[in-house]
Amino acid sequence: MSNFSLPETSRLPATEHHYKPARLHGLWWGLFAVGGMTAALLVPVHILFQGILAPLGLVSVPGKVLGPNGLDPAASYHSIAAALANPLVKLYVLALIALPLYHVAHRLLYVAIDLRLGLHRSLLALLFYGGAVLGTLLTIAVLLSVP
Amino acid sequence: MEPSRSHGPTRRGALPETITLSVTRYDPRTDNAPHQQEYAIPYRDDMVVLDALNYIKNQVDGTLTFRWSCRMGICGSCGMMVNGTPRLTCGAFLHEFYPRPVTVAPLANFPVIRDLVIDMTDFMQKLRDVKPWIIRDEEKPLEEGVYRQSPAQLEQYRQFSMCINCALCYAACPVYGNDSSFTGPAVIALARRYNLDSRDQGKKERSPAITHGEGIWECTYVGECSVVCPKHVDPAKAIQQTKWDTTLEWAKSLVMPWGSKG
Amino acid sequence: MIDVSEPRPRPFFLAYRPTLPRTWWMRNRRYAFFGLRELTAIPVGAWLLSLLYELWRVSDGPSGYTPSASPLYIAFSIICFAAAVLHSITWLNLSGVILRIKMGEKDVPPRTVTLANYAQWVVVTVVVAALLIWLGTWR
Repeated sequence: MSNFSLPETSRLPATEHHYKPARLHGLWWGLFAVGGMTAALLVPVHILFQGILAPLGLVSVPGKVLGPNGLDPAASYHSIAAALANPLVKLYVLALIALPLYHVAHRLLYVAIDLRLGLHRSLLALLFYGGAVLGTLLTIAVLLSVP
Repeated sequence: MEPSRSHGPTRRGALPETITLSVTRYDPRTDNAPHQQEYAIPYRDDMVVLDALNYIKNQVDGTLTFRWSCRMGICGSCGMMVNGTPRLTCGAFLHEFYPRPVTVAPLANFPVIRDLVIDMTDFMQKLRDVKPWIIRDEEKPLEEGVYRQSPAQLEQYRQFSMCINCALCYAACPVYGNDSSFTGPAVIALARRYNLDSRDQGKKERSPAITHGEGIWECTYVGECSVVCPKHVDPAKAIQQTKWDTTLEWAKSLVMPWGSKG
Repeated sequence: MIDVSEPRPRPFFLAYRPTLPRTWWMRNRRYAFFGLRELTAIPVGAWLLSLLYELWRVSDGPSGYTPSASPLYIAFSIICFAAAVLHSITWLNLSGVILRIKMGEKDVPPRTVTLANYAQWVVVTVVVAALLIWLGTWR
Protein backbone atom coordinates (compact mmCIF):
# COMPACT_ATOMS: atom_id res chain seq x y z
CA MET A 1 0.00 0.00 0.00
CA SER A 2 2.85 2.39 0.74
CA ASN A 3 4.22 1.88 -2.79
CA PHE A 4 0.99 3.10 -4.31
CA SER A 5 1.14 6.53 -5.91
CA LEU A 6 -1.25 8.48 -8.08
CA PRO A 7 -0.24 9.50 -11.57
CA GLU A 8 0.83 13.14 -11.89
CA THR A 9 -2.27 14.01 -13.77
CA SER A 10 -5.38 12.28 -15.00
CA ARG A 11 -4.90 13.93 -18.35
CA LEU A 12 -3.63 11.14 -20.55
CA PRO A 13 -1.80 11.86 -23.79
CA ALA A 14 -4.02 13.18 -26.54
CA THR A 15 -5.70 10.59 -28.70
CA GLU A 16 -5.00 10.51 -32.41
CA HIS A 17 -8.29 12.08 -33.31
CA HIS A 18 -8.33 15.89 -33.39
CA TYR A 19 -11.83 17.22 -32.79
CA LYS A 20 -12.90 20.80 -33.47
CA PRO A 21 -16.04 22.37 -31.96
CA ALA A 22 -18.55 23.01 -34.75
CA ARG A 23 -19.65 26.54 -33.88
CA LEU A 24 -21.67 27.02 -37.07
CA HIS A 25 -23.71 23.90 -36.25
CA GLY A 26 -24.32 25.44 -32.84
CA LEU A 27 -25.56 28.66 -34.43
CA TRP A 28 -28.07 26.90 -36.68
CA TRP A 29 -29.25 24.73 -33.84
CA GLY A 30 -29.66 27.77 -31.58
CA LEU A 31 -31.75 29.52 -34.26
CA PHE A 32 -33.72 26.30 -34.74
CA ALA A 33 -34.48 26.21 -31.02
CA VAL A 34 -35.52 29.88 -30.77
CA GLY A 35 -37.56 29.60 -33.97
CA GLY A 36 -39.23 26.47 -32.69
CA MET A 37 -40.25 28.06 -29.41
CA THR A 38 -41.52 31.14 -31.26
CA ALA A 39 -43.55 28.99 -33.63
CA ALA A 40 -44.86 26.80 -30.85
CA LEU A 41 -46.10 29.69 -28.74
CA LEU A 42 -47.30 32.16 -31.38
CA VAL A 43 -48.22 30.52 -34.67
CA PRO A 44 -51.38 28.57 -33.69
CA VAL A 45 -53.26 31.63 -32.42
CA HIS A 46 -52.37 33.64 -35.54
CA ILE A 47 -53.56 30.86 -37.84
CA LEU A 48 -56.71 30.41 -35.79
CA PHE A 49 -57.70 34.09 -35.85
CA GLN A 50 -56.23 35.39 -39.11
CA GLY A 51 -56.50 32.17 -41.10
CA ILE A 52 -59.77 30.65 -39.95
CA LEU A 53 -62.04 32.71 -37.68
CA ALA A 54 -61.75 36.08 -39.47
CA PRO A 55 -62.16 34.65 -43.00
CA LEU A 56 -65.21 32.77 -41.69
CA GLY A 57 -66.63 36.09 -40.56
CA LEU A 58 -66.57 35.29 -36.86
CA VAL A 59 -64.17 38.02 -35.71
CA SER A 60 -62.32 41.10 -36.99
CA VAL A 61 -58.54 41.17 -36.99
CA PRO A 62 -56.02 43.54 -38.62
CA GLY A 63 -56.25 42.89 -42.35
CA LYS A 64 -59.60 41.13 -42.17
CA VAL A 65 -62.32 43.41 -40.87
CA LEU A 66 -65.98 42.47 -41.04
CA GLY A 67 -68.38 44.74 -42.86
CA PRO A 68 -72.09 44.48 -43.58
CA ASN A 69 -71.45 41.98 -46.42
CA GLY A 70 -68.52 39.84 -45.33
CA LEU A 71 -65.03 41.34 -45.22
CA ASP A 72 -64.71 45.05 -45.88
CA PRO A 73 -61.52 45.57 -47.99
CA ALA A 74 -61.11 49.27 -47.20
CA ALA A 75 -61.53 48.84 -43.45
CA SER A 76 -59.34 45.76 -43.60
CA TYR A 77 -56.60 47.72 -45.33
CA HIS A 78 -56.74 50.57 -42.86
CA SER A 79 -56.57 48.30 -39.83
CA ILE A 80 -53.52 46.41 -41.03
CA ALA A 81 -51.77 49.54 -42.27
CA ALA A 82 -52.43 51.24 -38.95
CA ALA A 83 -51.12 48.23 -37.03
CA LEU A 84 -47.98 47.92 -39.15
CA ALA A 85 -47.25 51.61 -38.80
CA ASN A 86 -46.26 50.87 -35.22
CA PRO A 87 -42.53 49.91 -35.07
CA LEU A 88 -43.18 47.51 -32.19
CA VAL A 89 -45.69 45.64 -34.35
CA LYS A 90 -43.11 45.56 -37.15
CA LEU A 91 -40.55 43.98 -34.80
CA TYR A 92 -43.08 41.46 -33.56
CA VAL A 93 -44.03 40.47 -37.10
CA LEU A 94 -40.34 40.14 -38.00
CA ALA A 95 -39.82 37.73 -35.10
CA LEU A 96 -43.06 35.88 -35.85
CA ILE A 97 -42.16 35.20 -39.48
CA ALA A 98 -38.35 35.16 -39.66
CA LEU A 99 -37.40 33.12 -36.58
CA PRO A 100 -39.53 30.07 -37.42
CA LEU A 101 -38.00 30.07 -40.91
CA TYR A 102 -34.69 28.92 -39.36
CA HIS A 103 -36.59 26.23 -37.51
CA VAL A 104 -38.20 25.02 -40.74
CA ALA A 105 -34.89 25.18 -42.63
CA HIS A 106 -33.03 23.15 -39.99
CA ARG A 107 -35.76 20.53 -39.81
CA LEU A 108 -36.01 20.21 -43.59
CA LEU A 109 -32.25 19.80 -43.86
CA TYR A 110 -32.19 17.00 -41.29
CA VAL A 111 -35.28 15.29 -42.71
CA ALA A 112 -33.49 15.24 -46.05
CA ILE A 113 -30.40 13.77 -44.35
CA ASP A 114 -32.30 11.21 -42.25
CA LEU A 115 -34.40 10.05 -45.21
CA ARG A 116 -31.36 10.03 -47.49
CA LEU A 117 -33.06 12.13 -50.14
CA GLY A 118 -29.88 12.11 -52.16
CA LEU A 119 -28.61 15.63 -52.64
CA HIS A 120 -25.25 16.59 -51.23
CA ARG A 121 -25.45 17.92 -47.71
CA SER A 122 -23.65 21.22 -48.34
CA LEU A 123 -25.98 21.93 -51.24
CA LEU A 124 -29.05 21.24 -49.10
CA ALA A 125 -27.67 23.38 -46.26
CA LEU A 126 -27.11 26.25 -48.66
CA LEU A 127 -30.61 25.80 -50.06
CA PHE A 128 -32.42 25.65 -46.74
CA TYR A 129 -30.41 27.98 -44.51
CA GLY A 130 -29.97 30.34 -47.43
CA GLY A 131 -33.71 30.23 -47.92
CA ALA A 132 -34.26 31.20 -44.29
CA VAL A 133 -31.85 34.13 -44.61
CA LEU A 134 -33.58 35.17 -47.82
CA GLY A 135 -36.94 34.93 -46.10
CA THR A 136 -35.65 37.11 -43.28
CA LEU A 137 -34.46 39.76 -45.75
CA LEU A 138 -37.78 39.62 -47.62
CA THR A 139 -39.68 40.08 -44.37
CA ILE A 140 -37.57 43.11 -43.48
CA ALA A 141 -38.10 44.51 -46.97
CA VAL A 142 -41.86 44.06 -46.78
CA LEU A 143 -42.06 45.61 -43.33
CA LEU A 144 -39.99 48.58 -44.46
CA SER A 145 -42.13 49.05 -47.58
CA VAL A 146 -45.25 49.56 -45.50
CA PRO A 147 -45.49 53.19 -44.34
CA MET B 1 -45.32 -11.81 -9.76
CA GLU B 2 -46.60 -15.30 -10.46
CA PRO B 3 -44.84 -16.95 -13.39
CA SER B 4 -47.27 -18.19 -15.99
CA ARG B 5 -48.11 -21.80 -15.36
CA SER B 6 -50.17 -22.34 -18.46
CA HIS B 7 -47.20 -23.36 -20.60
CA GLY B 8 -44.18 -25.54 -20.14
CA PRO B 9 -43.66 -29.17 -19.28
CA THR B 10 -44.37 -28.57 -15.60
CA ARG B 11 -47.87 -30.02 -15.81
CA ARG B 12 -47.74 -33.73 -15.10
CA GLY B 13 -48.13 -35.81 -18.21
CA ALA B 14 -48.05 -32.82 -20.57
CA LEU B 15 -45.96 -33.01 -23.72
CA PRO B 16 -42.94 -30.66 -23.77
CA GLU B 17 -43.72 -27.57 -25.81
CA THR B 18 -41.40 -26.20 -28.45
CA ILE B 19 -40.65 -22.78 -29.79
CA THR B 20 -38.93 -21.89 -33.04
CA LEU B 21 -36.00 -19.51 -33.19
CA SER B 22 -34.91 -18.01 -36.50
CA VAL B 23 -31.30 -17.08 -35.95
CA THR B 24 -28.89 -15.17 -38.20
CA ARG B 25 -25.93 -17.23 -39.37
CA TYR B 26 -22.94 -15.77 -41.12
CA ASP B 27 -19.54 -17.34 -41.69
CA PRO B 28 -17.21 -14.79 -43.32
CA ARG B 29 -15.13 -17.65 -44.75
CA THR B 30 -17.95 -19.04 -46.82
CA ASP B 31 -20.90 -16.63 -46.92
CA ASN B 32 -21.34 -13.44 -48.89
CA ALA B 33 -24.18 -12.31 -46.67
CA PRO B 34 -25.95 -13.39 -43.46
CA HIS B 35 -28.93 -15.78 -43.70
CA GLN B 36 -31.47 -17.15 -41.23
CA GLN B 37 -31.44 -20.66 -39.78
CA GLU B 38 -34.37 -22.13 -37.87
CA TYR B 39 -34.13 -24.15 -34.69
CA ALA B 40 -37.04 -25.75 -32.81
CA ILE B 41 -36.17 -26.08 -29.13
CA PRO B 42 -38.00 -27.13 -25.96
CA TYR B 43 -39.85 -24.24 -24.33
CA ARG B 44 -40.21 -23.41 -20.66
CA ASP B 45 -41.89 -20.22 -19.54
CA ASP B 46 -38.90 -19.14 -17.47
CA MET B 47 -36.50 -19.16 -20.42
CA VAL B 48 -34.97 -16.07 -21.93
CA VAL B 49 -33.66 -15.76 -25.48
CA LEU B 50 -30.13 -16.20 -24.16
CA ASP B 51 -31.14 -19.54 -22.62
CA ALA B 52 -32.52 -20.59 -25.99
CA LEU B 53 -29.28 -19.62 -27.75
CA ASN B 54 -27.23 -21.53 -25.20
CA TYR B 55 -29.50 -24.54 -25.61
CA ILE B 56 -28.92 -24.41 -29.36
CA LYS B 57 -25.16 -24.11 -28.91
CA ASN B 58 -24.96 -26.86 -26.31
CA GLN B 59 -27.42 -29.39 -27.71
CA VAL B 60 -28.14 -28.64 -31.35
CA ASP B 61 -25.50 -26.66 -33.20
CA GLY B 62 -22.17 -25.95 -31.55
CA THR B 63 -21.08 -23.62 -34.32
CA LEU B 64 -23.55 -20.89 -33.34
CA THR B 65 -21.51 -17.92 -32.10
CA PHE B 66 -22.71 -15.12 -29.82
CA ARG B 67 -21.58 -12.96 -26.92
CA TRP B 68 -22.89 -13.14 -23.36
CA SER B 69 -21.57 -12.98 -19.84
CA CYS B 70 -23.44 -12.02 -16.69
CA ARG B 71 -26.90 -13.21 -17.89
CA MET B 72 -28.48 -10.66 -15.55
CA GLY B 73 -28.57 -7.39 -17.46
CA ILE B 74 -25.52 -5.61 -16.11
CA CYS B 75 -22.55 -6.49 -18.33
CA GLY B 76 -24.02 -5.29 -21.61
CA SER B 77 -22.55 -8.15 -23.69
CA CYS B 78 -25.65 -9.91 -25.01
CA GLY B 79 -27.28 -7.14 -27.04
CA MET B 80 -29.02 -8.45 -30.18
CA MET B 81 -32.06 -7.76 -32.35
CA VAL B 82 -35.03 -9.78 -31.05
CA ASN B 83 -37.96 -9.56 -33.48
CA GLY B 84 -36.45 -6.38 -34.87
CA THR B 85 -35.98 -4.61 -31.52
CA PRO B 86 -32.60 -4.16 -29.81
CA ARG B 87 -32.77 -6.18 -26.59
CA LEU B 88 -30.47 -7.71 -24.02
CA THR B 89 -31.18 -11.37 -24.73
CA CYS B 90 -30.73 -12.21 -21.05
CA GLY B 91 -33.80 -10.10 -20.33
CA ALA B 92 -36.02 -11.04 -23.27
CA PHE B 93 -38.37 -13.75 -22.04
CA LEU B 94 -39.58 -16.34 -24.54
CA HIS B 95 -43.06 -16.11 -23.02
CA GLU B 96 -43.30 -12.58 -24.50
CA PHE B 97 -43.36 -14.22 -27.94
CA TYR B 98 -44.56 -17.82 -27.45
CA PRO B 99 -46.02 -19.55 -29.41
CA ARG B 100 -44.86 -17.36 -32.32
CA PRO B 101 -41.35 -17.86 -33.68
CA VAL B 102 -38.62 -15.53 -32.43
CA THR B 103 -36.18 -13.90 -34.84
CA VAL B 104 -32.71 -13.25 -33.41
CA ALA B 105 -30.31 -11.12 -35.43
CA PRO B 106 -27.00 -9.36 -34.71
CA LEU B 107 -27.25 -5.89 -33.19
CA ALA B 108 -28.19 -3.48 -35.98
CA ASN B 109 -25.98 -0.75 -37.44
CA PHE B 110 -22.73 -2.56 -36.64
CA PRO B 111 -20.52 -4.70 -38.92
CA VAL B 112 -21.15 -8.40 -38.42
CA ILE B 113 -18.05 -10.44 -37.69
CA ARG B 114 -19.79 -13.80 -37.48
CA ASP B 115 -23.33 -15.07 -36.71
CA LEU B 116 -24.56 -12.81 -33.90
CA VAL B 117 -21.20 -11.22 -33.07
CA ILE B 118 -20.69 -7.59 -34.10
CA ASP B 119 -17.65 -5.36 -34.35
CA MET B 120 -17.77 -2.81 -31.52
CA THR B 121 -14.53 -1.06 -32.47
CA ASP B 122 -16.21 2.14 -33.62
CA PHE B 123 -18.12 2.45 -30.35
CA MET B 124 -15.00 1.74 -28.30
CA GLN B 125 -12.97 4.36 -30.14
CA LYS B 126 -15.62 7.00 -29.63
CA LEU B 127 -15.96 6.08 -25.98
CA ARG B 128 -12.23 6.48 -25.42
CA ASP B 129 -12.22 9.81 -27.24
CA VAL B 130 -14.59 11.44 -24.72
CA LYS B 131 -12.24 10.48 -21.87
CA PRO B 132 -14.86 8.86 -19.64
CA TRP B 133 -12.99 9.34 -16.37
CA ILE B 134 -12.56 12.09 -13.78
CA ILE B 135 -10.13 14.69 -15.09
CA ARG B 136 -8.51 16.98 -12.53
CA ASP B 137 -6.23 19.98 -12.98
CA GLU B 138 -4.37 18.58 -10.00
CA GLU B 139 -5.01 15.34 -8.18
CA LYS B 140 -5.69 15.66 -4.47
CA PRO B 141 -2.85 14.00 -2.52
CA LEU B 142 -3.98 10.87 -0.69
CA GLU B 143 -3.37 12.46 2.71
CA GLU B 144 -6.13 15.01 2.01
CA GLY B 145 -8.69 12.20 1.89
CA VAL B 146 -11.59 11.49 -0.43
CA TYR B 147 -13.55 13.82 -2.72
CA ARG B 148 -16.83 14.71 -1.04
CA GLN B 149 -20.10 14.89 -2.95
CA SER B 150 -23.59 15.62 -1.69
CA PRO B 151 -26.58 13.48 -2.74
CA ALA B 152 -27.87 16.46 -4.74
CA GLN B 153 -24.57 16.70 -6.61
CA LEU B 154 -24.70 12.98 -7.31
CA GLU B 155 -28.25 13.29 -8.59
CA GLN B 156 -27.07 15.74 -11.28
CA TYR B 157 -25.35 12.94 -13.20
CA ARG B 158 -26.51 9.68 -11.59
CA GLN B 159 -28.96 8.69 -14.32
CA PHE B 160 -26.31 9.04 -17.04
CA SER B 161 -23.84 6.98 -15.00
CA MET B 162 -26.06 3.89 -15.31
CA CYS B 163 -24.84 3.14 -18.84
CA ILE B 164 -23.54 -0.42 -19.31
CA ASN B 165 -22.12 0.20 -22.78
CA CYS B 166 -24.43 -2.37 -24.35
CA ALA B 167 -24.84 -0.23 -27.51
CA LEU B 168 -28.56 -1.02 -27.91
CA CYS B 169 -29.03 2.74 -28.37
CA TYR B 170 -26.75 2.67 -31.43
CA ALA B 171 -28.84 -0.09 -32.93
CA ALA B 172 -31.98 1.99 -32.38
CA CYS B 173 -30.58 5.27 -33.70
CA PRO B 174 -31.37 5.93 -37.39
CA VAL B 175 -28.85 8.76 -37.53
CA TYR B 176 -26.06 6.34 -36.57
CA GLY B 177 -27.56 3.74 -38.90
CA ASN B 178 -27.34 6.19 -41.80
CA ASP B 179 -23.89 7.51 -40.93
CA SER B 180 -21.61 5.75 -38.47
CA SER B 181 -19.48 8.86 -38.06
CA PHE B 182 -22.18 10.12 -35.65
CA THR B 183 -20.81 10.04 -32.12
CA GLY B 184 -23.93 8.34 -30.83
CA PRO B 185 -26.17 8.32 -27.76
CA ALA B 186 -24.19 6.40 -25.13
CA VAL B 187 -20.92 8.22 -25.72
CA ILE B 188 -22.56 11.64 -25.49
CA ALA B 189 -24.49 10.63 -22.38
CA LEU B 190 -21.29 9.44 -20.76
CA ALA B 191 -19.44 12.62 -21.69
CA ARG B 192 -22.25 14.55 -20.01
CA ARG B 193 -22.06 12.24 -16.98
CA TYR B 194 -18.49 13.36 -16.42
CA ASN B 195 -19.05 17.00 -17.33
CA LEU B 196 -21.79 17.17 -14.68
CA ASP B 197 -19.74 15.39 -12.02
CA SER B 198 -18.72 17.93 -9.35
CA ARG B 199 -15.35 16.18 -8.98
CA ASP B 200 -14.52 16.61 -12.66
CA GLN B 201 -12.58 19.54 -14.12
CA GLY B 202 -12.23 18.23 -17.65
CA LYS B 203 -15.22 19.77 -19.45
CA LYS B 204 -13.09 21.97 -21.71
CA GLU B 205 -10.88 19.05 -22.66
CA ARG B 206 -13.71 16.61 -23.14
CA SER B 207 -16.26 18.72 -25.00
CA PRO B 208 -14.68 18.97 -28.47
CA ALA B 209 -15.13 15.21 -28.79
CA ILE B 210 -18.91 15.68 -28.71
CA THR B 211 -19.46 19.21 -30.05
CA HIS B 212 -17.80 18.60 -33.40
CA GLY B 213 -19.62 18.37 -36.71
CA GLU B 214 -20.66 14.73 -36.27
CA GLY B 215 -21.43 15.04 -32.58
CA ILE B 216 -24.45 16.33 -30.70
CA TRP B 217 -25.64 18.52 -33.58
CA GLU B 218 -26.40 15.53 -35.78
CA CYS B 219 -28.98 14.15 -33.37
CA THR B 220 -32.55 14.83 -34.52
CA TYR B 221 -34.19 13.67 -31.28
CA VAL B 222 -35.86 10.60 -32.70
CA GLY B 223 -35.74 9.34 -29.13
CA GLU B 224 -35.62 5.62 -29.88
CA CYS B 225 -32.31 5.31 -28.03
CA SER B 226 -33.99 6.17 -24.75
CA VAL B 227 -36.87 3.80 -25.49
CA VAL B 228 -34.58 0.77 -25.88
CA CYS B 229 -32.06 1.57 -23.13
CA PRO B 230 -32.25 -1.26 -20.58
CA LYS B 231 -30.91 0.91 -17.76
CA HIS B 232 -33.16 3.95 -18.37
CA VAL B 233 -30.22 6.27 -18.96
CA ASP B 234 -32.30 8.48 -21.31
CA PRO B 235 -29.40 9.37 -23.63
CA ALA B 236 -31.77 11.43 -25.79
CA LYS B 237 -32.31 13.76 -22.87
CA ALA B 238 -28.57 13.94 -22.27
CA ILE B 239 -27.94 14.93 -25.88
CA GLN B 240 -30.62 17.65 -26.02
CA GLN B 241 -29.46 19.08 -22.68
CA THR B 242 -25.90 19.12 -24.00
CA LYS B 243 -27.04 20.96 -27.14
CA TRP B 244 -28.78 23.58 -25.04
CA ASP B 245 -25.92 23.99 -22.55
CA THR B 246 -23.34 24.19 -25.33
CA THR B 247 -25.35 26.78 -27.27
CA LEU B 248 -25.70 28.93 -24.15
CA GLU B 249 -21.99 28.64 -23.37
CA TRP B 250 -20.94 29.50 -26.89
CA ALA B 251 -23.37 32.45 -26.97
CA LYS B 252 -22.04 33.63 -23.61
CA SER B 253 -18.46 33.36 -24.81
CA LEU B 254 -19.37 35.51 -27.81
CA VAL B 255 -20.93 38.21 -25.69
CA MET B 256 -18.57 37.89 -22.73
CA PRO B 257 -15.31 36.47 -24.10
CA TRP B 258 -13.44 37.09 -20.88
CA GLY B 259 -15.18 34.15 -19.14
CA SER B 260 -12.74 31.37 -18.27
CA LYS B 261 -15.14 28.41 -18.39
CA GLY B 262 -14.67 26.32 -21.57
CA MET C 1 -8.71 -29.93 -41.58
CA ILE C 2 -9.03 -26.85 -43.79
CA ASP C 3 -9.92 -27.64 -47.37
CA VAL C 4 -7.57 -25.49 -49.45
CA SER C 5 -9.95 -25.61 -52.40
CA GLU C 6 -12.45 -23.54 -50.39
CA PRO C 7 -12.60 -19.75 -50.73
CA ARG C 8 -9.93 -17.85 -48.79
CA PRO C 9 -10.91 -16.98 -45.22
CA ARG C 10 -11.75 -13.33 -44.78
CA PRO C 11 -10.47 -11.56 -41.66
CA PHE C 12 -13.10 -9.67 -39.78
CA PHE C 13 -12.18 -6.30 -41.15
CA LEU C 14 -14.10 -7.59 -44.14
CA ALA C 15 -17.09 -8.12 -41.89
CA TYR C 16 -20.54 -7.80 -43.40
CA ARG C 17 -21.65 -4.18 -43.25
CA PRO C 18 -25.42 -3.80 -43.20
CA THR C 19 -27.10 -0.74 -44.74
CA LEU C 20 -30.01 0.91 -43.00
CA PRO C 21 -32.95 0.66 -45.43
CA ARG C 22 -34.41 3.96 -46.62
CA THR C 23 -37.75 2.86 -45.21
CA TRP C 24 -36.41 2.71 -41.67
CA TRP C 25 -38.96 5.30 -40.54
CA MET C 26 -41.79 2.88 -41.34
CA ARG C 27 -40.44 0.21 -38.99
CA ASN C 28 -42.41 1.16 -35.90
CA ARG C 29 -44.98 3.67 -34.59
CA ARG C 30 -42.44 5.88 -32.84
CA TYR C 31 -40.25 6.27 -35.93
CA ALA C 32 -43.33 7.14 -38.00
CA PHE C 33 -44.50 9.69 -35.44
CA PHE C 34 -41.03 11.22 -35.49
CA GLY C 35 -41.40 11.72 -39.25
CA LEU C 36 -44.83 13.30 -38.80
CA ARG C 37 -43.53 15.58 -36.06
CA GLU C 38 -40.69 16.81 -38.25
CA LEU C 39 -42.98 17.39 -41.21
CA THR C 40 -45.27 19.69 -39.18
CA ALA C 41 -42.62 22.35 -39.78
CA ILE C 42 -43.62 22.57 -43.46
CA PRO C 43 -47.23 23.78 -43.03
CA VAL C 44 -46.09 26.17 -40.29
CA GLY C 45 -43.53 27.70 -42.65
CA ALA C 46 -45.98 27.74 -45.54
CA TRP C 47 -48.65 29.62 -43.59
CA LEU C 48 -46.14 32.19 -42.34
CA LEU C 49 -45.05 32.78 -45.93
CA SER C 50 -48.70 33.25 -46.91
CA LEU C 51 -48.94 35.83 -44.14
CA LEU C 52 -45.85 37.54 -45.51
CA TYR C 53 -47.48 37.63 -48.94
CA GLU C 54 -50.58 39.26 -47.48
CA LEU C 55 -48.46 41.89 -45.73
CA TRP C 56 -46.67 42.54 -49.00
CA ARG C 57 -50.00 43.37 -50.65
CA VAL C 58 -50.47 46.08 -47.98
CA SER C 59 -47.69 48.10 -49.59
CA ASP C 60 -49.82 48.31 -52.75
CA GLY C 61 -52.18 50.67 -51.01
CA PRO C 62 -55.93 50.37 -50.36
CA SER C 63 -56.82 49.65 -53.98
CA GLY C 64 -54.40 46.76 -54.30
CA TYR C 65 -55.18 45.03 -51.01
CA THR C 66 -57.61 42.12 -50.80
CA PRO C 67 -57.71 40.07 -47.61
CA SER C 68 -57.27 36.33 -48.15
CA ALA C 69 -60.53 34.67 -47.21
CA SER C 70 -61.40 32.15 -49.92
CA PRO C 71 -62.59 28.65 -49.00
CA LEU C 72 -59.27 27.35 -50.34
CA TYR C 73 -57.38 29.67 -48.03
CA ILE C 74 -59.53 28.63 -45.07
CA ALA C 75 -58.96 24.94 -45.85
CA PHE C 76 -55.22 25.62 -46.17
CA SER C 77 -55.28 27.44 -42.82
CA ILE C 78 -57.12 24.58 -41.13
CA ILE C 79 -54.47 22.09 -42.25
CA CYS C 80 -51.71 24.45 -41.15
CA PHE C 81 -53.47 25.00 -37.83
CA ALA C 82 -53.57 21.25 -37.14
CA ALA C 83 -49.88 20.96 -38.01
CA ALA C 84 -49.03 24.00 -35.88
CA VAL C 85 -50.88 22.62 -32.86
CA LEU C 86 -49.15 19.25 -33.23
CA HIS C 87 -45.86 21.09 -33.53
CA SER C 88 -46.59 23.09 -30.38
CA ILE C 89 -47.62 20.07 -28.33
CA THR C 90 -44.60 17.99 -29.33
CA TRP C 91 -42.26 20.95 -28.90
CA LEU C 92 -43.52 21.98 -25.46
CA ASN C 93 -43.46 18.37 -24.24
CA LEU C 94 -39.89 17.86 -25.41
CA SER C 95 -38.57 21.20 -24.19
CA GLY C 96 -39.91 20.35 -20.74
CA VAL C 97 -37.43 17.48 -20.72
CA ILE C 98 -34.52 19.54 -21.98
CA LEU C 99 -34.63 22.65 -19.84
CA ARG C 100 -33.02 22.30 -16.45
CA ILE C 101 -34.00 24.99 -14.01
CA LYS C 102 -32.28 25.02 -10.66
CA MET C 103 -34.28 25.33 -7.47
CA GLY C 104 -31.52 25.72 -4.89
CA GLU C 105 -29.42 22.56 -5.19
CA LYS C 106 -32.07 20.46 -6.93
CA ASP C 107 -33.63 20.75 -10.37
CA VAL C 108 -37.27 21.59 -11.04
CA PRO C 109 -38.96 18.29 -11.99
CA PRO C 110 -39.44 17.96 -15.78
CA ARG C 111 -43.21 17.65 -15.50
CA THR C 112 -43.41 21.01 -13.74
CA VAL C 113 -41.33 22.63 -16.48
CA THR C 114 -43.63 21.15 -19.12
CA LEU C 115 -46.70 22.41 -17.29
CA ALA C 116 -45.10 25.84 -17.04
CA ASN C 117 -44.49 25.74 -20.81
CA TYR C 118 -48.14 24.98 -21.45
CA ALA C 119 -49.22 27.72 -19.06
CA GLN C 120 -46.96 30.09 -20.96
CA TRP C 121 -48.58 28.99 -24.22
CA VAL C 122 -52.07 29.65 -22.87
CA VAL C 123 -51.12 33.10 -21.58
CA VAL C 124 -49.40 34.09 -24.82
CA THR C 125 -52.35 32.83 -26.85
CA VAL C 126 -54.85 34.84 -24.81
CA VAL C 127 -52.71 38.00 -24.96
CA VAL C 128 -52.12 37.76 -28.71
CA ALA C 129 -55.79 36.97 -29.38
CA ALA C 130 -56.82 40.00 -27.36
CA LEU C 131 -54.33 42.19 -29.24
CA LEU C 132 -55.54 40.91 -32.61
CA ILE C 133 -59.16 41.62 -31.73
CA TRP C 134 -58.29 45.08 -30.37
CA LEU C 135 -56.14 45.96 -33.39
CA GLY C 136 -59.00 44.75 -35.58
CA THR C 137 -61.00 47.72 -34.35
CA TRP C 138 -58.39 50.32 -35.48
CA ARG C 139 -59.30 52.38 -38.46
